[in-house]
Amino acid sequence: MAEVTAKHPAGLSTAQTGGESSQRSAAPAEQIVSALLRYGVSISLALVLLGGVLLVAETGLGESLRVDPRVAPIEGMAQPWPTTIGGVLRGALALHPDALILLGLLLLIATPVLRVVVSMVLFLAEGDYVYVGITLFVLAMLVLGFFLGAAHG
Amino acid sequence: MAESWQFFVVLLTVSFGAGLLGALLGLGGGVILVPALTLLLGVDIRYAIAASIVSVIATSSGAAAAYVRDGITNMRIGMFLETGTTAGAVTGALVGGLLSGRALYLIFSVIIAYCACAMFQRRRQEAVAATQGDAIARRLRLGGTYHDPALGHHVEYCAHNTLPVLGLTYVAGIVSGLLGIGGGPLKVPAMDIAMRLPIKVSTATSNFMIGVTAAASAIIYFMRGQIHPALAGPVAAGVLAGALTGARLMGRVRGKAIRILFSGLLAVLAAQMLLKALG
Repeated sequence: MAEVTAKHPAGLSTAQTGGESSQRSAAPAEQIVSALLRYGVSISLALVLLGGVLLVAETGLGESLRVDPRVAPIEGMAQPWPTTIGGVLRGALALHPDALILLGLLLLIATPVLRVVVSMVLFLAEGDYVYVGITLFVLAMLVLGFFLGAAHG
Repeated sequence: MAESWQFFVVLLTVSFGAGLLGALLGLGGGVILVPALTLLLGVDIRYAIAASIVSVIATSSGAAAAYVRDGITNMRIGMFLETGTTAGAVTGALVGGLLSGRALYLIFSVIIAYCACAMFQRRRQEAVAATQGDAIARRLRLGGTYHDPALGHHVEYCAHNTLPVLGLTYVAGIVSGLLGIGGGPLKVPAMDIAMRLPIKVSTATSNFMIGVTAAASAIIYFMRGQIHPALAGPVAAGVLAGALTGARLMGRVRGKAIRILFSGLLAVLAAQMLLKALG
């Protein structure tokens, strides 16, 4: 078994060379992950650009242009843009420029995490339980890291 | 800031450059973006760091979409090493206070200088001889093949020194937050020098990994209100455009050029950290 895998170190990384049984099942996994990343990036870029156009058009809703990023934010003072996911969603539905940009950025941030979740499902479908475990460990560390970071706030 | 359109032109240009270089070198571009934003544009460090974290994710996803499709990214090696970087980040958050100081900068300045030399020495090694890798790499199938248009043929590889490299990525995860550098400057040399992967596989796989580690801190910056929409929005757009351009260039660029560029960047980084160590 080890000999075979050594000669053909096939895996999820070998979409280019067809012919071996393990690679036929591998290629779609790469296509799915690649498509997920592409769609995530495209949709978030579209939202950022839409928000940017509305911001520059000065619809009166965009506040962030008036906040100079060269001046340090004042401790404890609320920013004029939403800082919760719910706030961003409500603002984006009302076509609020800052909220649209932030929704795009939140989607961008969520994309790599979604990628880990999708990889786990793909490893599960392949019956590759070692990698299901590896992926679950990464997800657990991400959640733990988030709560530790939030607690240190 | 609304009155100065020059600000946005410089912002977009710098972001495009950071995305382009980041996609080719497997870095988030924070090495370029944070100094450019703070020194060139005078942006406050809190907004700059948050924008830079967003740019890391933009580079990662933008470039990885292309590299995964082209089979350059090794998703198994990426997932395997992510256990090290994410566990390291958690450890760093727990013990961060105990590990600060000049000694840390000095140690990593030396390590990074060594990496710069080692990568420069390896610059002529375009294709790695197809080797068996180590037992763990075979067991976990940490190898593969990819097509290199610049070489005109397929390159086969398998990972070496799997466990030491996992340890290195764990250390990289711990210190990257403390030293203010992303994981890329440590991960790529580890994959290149110790795992003996082709350089394009190393940078593409690093690109794939960095977005995940950055996501947790990005959400925290968002909740603190440090993600400035009018600043981070243009940065993300510019970085994405740069990363997509860089990913297109990757096929044609020689591995030698990537290694020389990378070791040059490491040399600058090593010098910066030495300066911080000396105060």
